[in-house]
Amino acid sequence: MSLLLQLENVRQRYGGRTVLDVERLEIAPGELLGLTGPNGSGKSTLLRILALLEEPVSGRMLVDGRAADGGGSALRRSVTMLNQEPYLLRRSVFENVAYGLRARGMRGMRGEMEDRVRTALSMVALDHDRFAPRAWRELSGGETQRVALAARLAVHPRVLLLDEPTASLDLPSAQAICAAVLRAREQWGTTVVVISHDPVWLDDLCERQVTMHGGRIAGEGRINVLPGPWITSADTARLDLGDGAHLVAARPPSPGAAACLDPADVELLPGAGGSGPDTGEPNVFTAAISQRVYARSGDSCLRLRIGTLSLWADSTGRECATGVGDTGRSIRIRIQPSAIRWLSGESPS
Amino acid sequence: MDFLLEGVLSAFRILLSGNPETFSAVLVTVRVTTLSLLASLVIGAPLGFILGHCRFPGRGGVRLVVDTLLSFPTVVIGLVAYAFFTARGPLGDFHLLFTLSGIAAAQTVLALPIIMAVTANAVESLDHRLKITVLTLGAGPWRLALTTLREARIALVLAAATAYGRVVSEVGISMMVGGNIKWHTRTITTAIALETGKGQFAQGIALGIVLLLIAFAVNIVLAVIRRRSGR
Repeated sequence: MSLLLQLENVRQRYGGRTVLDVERLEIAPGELLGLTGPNGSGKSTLLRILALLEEPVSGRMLVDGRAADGGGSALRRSVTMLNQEPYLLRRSVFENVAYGLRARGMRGMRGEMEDRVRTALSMVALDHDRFAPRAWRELSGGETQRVALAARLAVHPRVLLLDEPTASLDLPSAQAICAAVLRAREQWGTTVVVISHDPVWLDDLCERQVTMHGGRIAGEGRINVLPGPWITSADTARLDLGDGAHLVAARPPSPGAAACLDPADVELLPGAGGSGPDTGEPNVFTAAISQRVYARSGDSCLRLRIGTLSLWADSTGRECATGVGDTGRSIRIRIQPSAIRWLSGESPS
Repeated sequence: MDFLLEGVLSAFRILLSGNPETFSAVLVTVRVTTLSLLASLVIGAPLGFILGHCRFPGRGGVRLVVDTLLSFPTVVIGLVAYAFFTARGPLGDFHLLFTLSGIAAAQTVLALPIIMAVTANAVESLDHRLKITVLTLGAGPWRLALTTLREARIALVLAAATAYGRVVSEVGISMMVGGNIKWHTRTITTAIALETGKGQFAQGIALGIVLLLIAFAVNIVLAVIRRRSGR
């Protein structure tokens, strides 16, 4: 399959500090890719590089197999980005949505411009006749976000980059944005890269998820990042979880390294939850279930809390059927030390 | 104090009678100040945008010079302009001395730092998300500049008002570069200075009233623009 966007050994530095170090990332045309990871993990920097707003200090980005250096105007106009807190120009909603069309020289085509604005507003569930004449200051936060997305959709983007677009929105607004993005992909084959901390929303929208940590890609899918600090000894490393509990892993390749854990490697032990005493067996814990997330495949994932640590764990139908995996209950889990994988090298700093 | 009251009453009689000498000075003032304001906006707004938006070596020094020029005495600008425009000066071939164009050119120098400084401050204080928004919607450098200036339009209107207030009330440049030639380069301010010197208070007060009315009209226009701009 041909690739739309490719990043190869891309590094970005701010003030002498490496904030992004991506060895390889490939995005196919029409793909819906989710980026997740803790704050400061380099997601937004990666998005700005994909938006051609920044050039990396090293490495290269390819668009359709060709280097995107400098980003010519045609290339720049094929990519658009929506921030978490979008900015609306001090104009009417119509003028805001039409801005990108005017920038593309659609000034004389009033009829087509109106059609595009009307369609874009309807995609984000805003009525054209009601909202188009309104001033930017007459909109609520959710309406502002939707108008800003409509401005991006009006230009029929090849690549749509979304930086936490639903972070401060209510459910209907978040659903409207999700529906609009899916429709853009369906109608124009738009490739979408979206950052979100909302696992449910991301699961609803994306086919593939990439987890980032410390400027690096930690893995694909929902990955548990275990940043540390890890206490190392001769051949092991320990992560303090509070209340005297420790997670044990093999010795890290370098000091300060972060580890990750696949949710499939968190073993849910049979039994009636966390009522029994600790067995003293290493890496067996009593965890509280704080959230259950259902994926599109029908599988579910549990959000577990063990002391100071939060983990995702894959769940089977058995926990659902017995009620053992219900939110608010406790469950016994086991993590094999060998399942804890160290992220390559030291985290960028 | 009677002479003041009588001066005001006489001033209204002069204005209502349509005194041609008075209205010549008014016309000259409006023409020359409008010309200088337009020139300073056309030159100063883009320069102010560059100063506020771009990062280049020596930017701090340029800002310091522009800020210093804000309080430049008008007689000094008049003196320098006179030296440049006189037959022996570097711009002598343009024959600008004792012409309206000469006054307007020198007044442009007076207004330029105001437009530049206010525009630069306005551009600097704009929301940092504006640039990313505009660029990611496909704007090029020119559209970015125009959009930025449009977003800062309230401040630009304020800059224009401040600059207009400065040029319409100055005497030094009009006197030195224009020469206060009756029917030709005599402005309201130079006429007031002349008439007051001659003891013609009524004529001076009449011109002063017109000056106030011009300032009032300009502020009304600016208030309407501000309201229409959405604030």
